[in-house]
Amino acid sequence: MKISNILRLMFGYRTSCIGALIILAVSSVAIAADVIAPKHYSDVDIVKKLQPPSWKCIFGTDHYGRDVFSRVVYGTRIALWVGLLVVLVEALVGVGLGLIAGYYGGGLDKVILAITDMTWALPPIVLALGVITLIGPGLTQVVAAIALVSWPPFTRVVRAKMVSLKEREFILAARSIGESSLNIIFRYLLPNIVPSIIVLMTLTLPSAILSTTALSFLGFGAQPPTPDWGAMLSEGAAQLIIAPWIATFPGIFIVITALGFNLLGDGLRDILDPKLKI
Amino acid sequence: MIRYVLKRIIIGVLVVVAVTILLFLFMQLLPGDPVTMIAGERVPPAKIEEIRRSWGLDKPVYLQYFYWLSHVVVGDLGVSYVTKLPVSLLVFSRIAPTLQLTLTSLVLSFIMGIPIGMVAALKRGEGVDHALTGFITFFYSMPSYWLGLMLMLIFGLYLKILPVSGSFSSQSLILPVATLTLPSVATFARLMRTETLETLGEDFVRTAWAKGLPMRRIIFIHILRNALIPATTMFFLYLPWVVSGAVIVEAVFAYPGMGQLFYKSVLRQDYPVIQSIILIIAVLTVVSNILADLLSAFLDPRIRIGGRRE
Amino acid sequence: MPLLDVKGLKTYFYTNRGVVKAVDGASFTVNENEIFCLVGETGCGKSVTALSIMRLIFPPGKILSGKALYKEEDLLKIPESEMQKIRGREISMVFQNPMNSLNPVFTIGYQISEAPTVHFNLSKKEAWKRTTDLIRDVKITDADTRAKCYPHVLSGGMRQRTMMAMMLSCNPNLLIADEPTTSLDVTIQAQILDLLIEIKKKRRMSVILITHNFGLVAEFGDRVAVMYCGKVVEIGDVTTIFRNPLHPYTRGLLRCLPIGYKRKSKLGFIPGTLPSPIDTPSGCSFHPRCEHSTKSCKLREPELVEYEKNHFVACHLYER
Repeated sequence: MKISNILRLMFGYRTSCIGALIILAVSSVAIAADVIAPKHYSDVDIVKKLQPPSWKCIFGTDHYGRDVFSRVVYGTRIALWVGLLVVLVEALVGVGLGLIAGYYGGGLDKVILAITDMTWALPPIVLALGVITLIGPGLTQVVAAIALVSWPPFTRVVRAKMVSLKEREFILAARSIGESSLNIIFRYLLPNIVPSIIVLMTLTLPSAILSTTALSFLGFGAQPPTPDWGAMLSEGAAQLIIAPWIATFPGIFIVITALGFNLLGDGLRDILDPKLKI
Repeated sequence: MIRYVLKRIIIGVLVVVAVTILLFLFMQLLPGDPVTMIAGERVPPAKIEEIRRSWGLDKPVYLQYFYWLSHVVVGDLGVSYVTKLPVSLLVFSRIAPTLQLTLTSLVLSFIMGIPIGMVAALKRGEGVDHALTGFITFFYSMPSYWLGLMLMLIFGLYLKILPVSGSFSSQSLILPVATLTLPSVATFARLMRTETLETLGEDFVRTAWAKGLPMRRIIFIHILRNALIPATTMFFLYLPWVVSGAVIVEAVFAYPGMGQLFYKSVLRQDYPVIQSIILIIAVLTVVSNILADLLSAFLDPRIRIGGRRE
Repeated sequence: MPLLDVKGLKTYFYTNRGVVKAVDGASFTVNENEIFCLVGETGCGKSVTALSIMRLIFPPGKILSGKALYKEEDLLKIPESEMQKIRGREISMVFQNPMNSLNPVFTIGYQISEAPTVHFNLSKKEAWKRTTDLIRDVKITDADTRAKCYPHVLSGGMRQRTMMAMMLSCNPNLLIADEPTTSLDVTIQAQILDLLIEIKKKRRMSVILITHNFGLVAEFGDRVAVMYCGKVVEIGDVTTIFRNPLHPYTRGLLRCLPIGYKRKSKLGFIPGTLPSPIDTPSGCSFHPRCEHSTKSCKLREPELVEYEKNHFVACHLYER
């Protein structure tokens, strides 16, 4: 399918269109954070602490007098960056294992499949916290921990596609003219799997954002004064009774961002790979 | 059928064994010496050596593993580094509250998610479908800890009708259960919508129409019976995931369950407790996976007779 | 008085890629107690025509216009509740792929007994008796045990027999068989068709046999309609059509048949390919592939006219 066709279809679907617009808006906020935010995210103004939202300071201030709006705006950068990073690592690990399992089959396939099923069956947050116990807290560690426990969908999808594609005539033809294994994997098989991988990446990005911010919320991720949405929520939770706005706004932004990717992902799936399941 | 059951159970036991090996290695990789951690820094070295020998820590690693495993099997999970209490004492009392929370939420999600997903699929493309799909995607995109905070804010602080934390009455269960349930409802509804849509397109549904069956019968017998197979399997597969959510929800609501204990133990680096809870959850996962497999075999004659799995 | 009279049936599918005119003004009649064949290439709208008669077109598909008079009642107009009583009881349909057409989670006995239970309010015992009788009728041995089997343990031929038992369970007057043997082994195909003919004779019902195989038409058919691009281009008695095919498309199809092994002439073929159903050619849809095509073929759609008694054709060559 041509890119132009995909774009035409994408904007034909109302949901994916809304999703794309949301992502566009959130990304613009991330890029233009320096321009949009009235203050720097770590500017402390203790005199103006815990001020409720007003026209001058639309999301209010936190207990250090920092502008919540500015922090939320800068947080967009971290959320998108972290989400993207997690998904890329997941895809790299997951697709790699899926290609190996699907192409070679046999015992290797069984072992990889068993590991994949086990990793996926176990509760992700519990597993990720186990990894954090081993490698310590921090944003980079959180990215590693989440990526390490949530790659299985990629392996499953890629493996399943490989198994069905492998028997197709064009692969048999490629093999019969003596193409090397690497050539067959990367030039014949992978291009046919790429659409599914793209859909999967779009659909796992929101859960990557939700999980990483969850770990930050629990205090294992970004450390203050980093304007991570999860960490901000954690600080806001402590002030929930006296200053509910601190916890409210970062959450709204998480929902909007995740919603954007989920809508786009659902639309892309309908277009590129309607039978895909995760 | 019996062979199938036995096979599943044997695989399950193997997985549990693999998990224990991993967890044992996990403890080996962690910093700190268990004896000094429990006995304290000021104990004389000779005494430490004695404890070390009595715990079998002077033996080769694989023997240590079997030593540890033999203790675990009888329910001796070691001693907490922080409270110096037996881990079994800390953990076992926490299992029931967590199961109460997660199972309630799971049952509610199932009961609500199935009809929502089914109605959305049957009304595909109409206003009802858009509204329900919107609801599903919205809650699917929502972080549970934020949802918990917002529910607390609305019902506990503004409306003042529900307690915000702890677990002392059945009322205090409402908010944690709601927080855990809403996103899971979305998950089940999403699955059920996809499955129903897929079943709707099957040739045998067309056959049912061609036989002149009334729509009610087609939906509630032919479609539901098929679309429910993956959804009921999901009920058990999803149990560990709800436990995962419970870690966050219990932390938010200070709910005295296993999740909160786990979270606090990770914060305090209380390794024996972390290890034990992961082990318990792994066993729970394996058991619920076996149940899921058996249930789908029971519901799907293609697996029951012939042991095929698609 | 024909049993079924289809007039100007139009069924379109509104897809993301455009409007698919699957059936675009098809007309034909089916008489009582005859085997009526609907032939054409894959994608010419045969199956959709049948499904439209059964009113089994679901979104994005839509029956736009036309009539399907069955015993003087327009099936496309009557309320859904009335239609439900027609399906299975008056008209029923056997599908192409017997594996996917049977519900995998119910026993075949249950699936066969379902329609009579619903239509005639039978008791469990009566339904069971009827079911085992039906299973015997379609020549499956050991009916009582077979009835308790699930579809996946049966062979393809058995499944198609089950399908037929299911569709005969309420004694329909008209059975639509949509390529009933295409997915089966060649050896099984003949058995299934022979069974179909035998049952048809015994029950004195009409059959619409949908096929792309002119050989089957010659062997089993009484009358035949040739479809192209959602339209019927020629109708007549099978013998008449084989003796004197009029439409260039029918002639082309017949030239493709290997008739007699002594002939040394090469098999014929029709140049070009079936046009995309989204943008069908203007005028007569066959004109880009037709050797006789003239200017008027591009401009005006030919009407179905009676060339000789009971032999209709839609082609400008024969318009007067």
